[in-house]
Amino acid sequence: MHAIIGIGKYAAFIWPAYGISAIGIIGAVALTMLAYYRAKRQSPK
Amino acid sequence: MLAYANPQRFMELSHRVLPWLCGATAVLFAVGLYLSVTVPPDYQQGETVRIMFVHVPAAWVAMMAYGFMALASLIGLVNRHPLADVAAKEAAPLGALFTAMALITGSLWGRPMWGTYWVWDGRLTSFLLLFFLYLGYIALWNAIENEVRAARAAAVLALIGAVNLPIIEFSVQWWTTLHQGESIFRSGGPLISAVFLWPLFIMAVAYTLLFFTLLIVRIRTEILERRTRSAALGSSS
Repeated sequence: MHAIIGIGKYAAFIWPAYGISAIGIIGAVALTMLAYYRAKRQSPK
Repeated sequence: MLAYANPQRFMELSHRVLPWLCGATAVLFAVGLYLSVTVPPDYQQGETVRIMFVHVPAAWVAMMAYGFMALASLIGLVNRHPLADVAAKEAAPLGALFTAMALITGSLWGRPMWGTYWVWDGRLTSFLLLFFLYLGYIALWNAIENEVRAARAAAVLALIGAVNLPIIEFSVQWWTTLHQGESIFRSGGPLISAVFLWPLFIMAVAYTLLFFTLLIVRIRTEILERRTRSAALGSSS
């Protein structure tokens, strides 16, 4: 736990790196799944 | 392999594979992230070593995705497999995303370690070129209305752009760069301690599985959309 909180003076670089990665990944998953379910709804049975 | 290039077979097979891929990706991300934030600081890089666990896997997937896209483009050109064209088309936005993530996280690592966010050295510049190649490929697909012609033009661009992959890989050997040299896949063994190598390896596998999971879902989406368009054309004629 100490390792997560105690990143000291480099926190301004480490957290944004993880944040941007998380936004990129979560965004890609969300957009991909939304497009898939939309296509599935519209697809002929 | 090409037997599964039939859209119907692909839909059936991917339907069975996807739950396992999703599960494995989630488990590996959980383990990799836990290890990434709990490893001790590096004696040289300090705490910034943690950025490596999101930067290196993103860079690896960015290059692998382009290699996949070029291979699928080649198969599309030679064998005229529509599914290969679809696979290449759907890999491009994912590749662009991972390239952007690698560039941004690399910059955030560079500032405290090198004293600058960006430098025009061989590795960074060739990696930026990779990002523009992805954007060019996506733009070309969208610029040509006819799908067959768009696939052929984009495939040629993908194959020409593949020249950039060895340039990225060997840039740290060919030119004097600020970016460090090869530290994992080298003849004398990895330069990185096992303490950092394991989280890096697990995160790299997690990112790779994520790429293929998203790619499969995107290909399924494109197949469904093409079926919808075909059905609409059939009912209107």
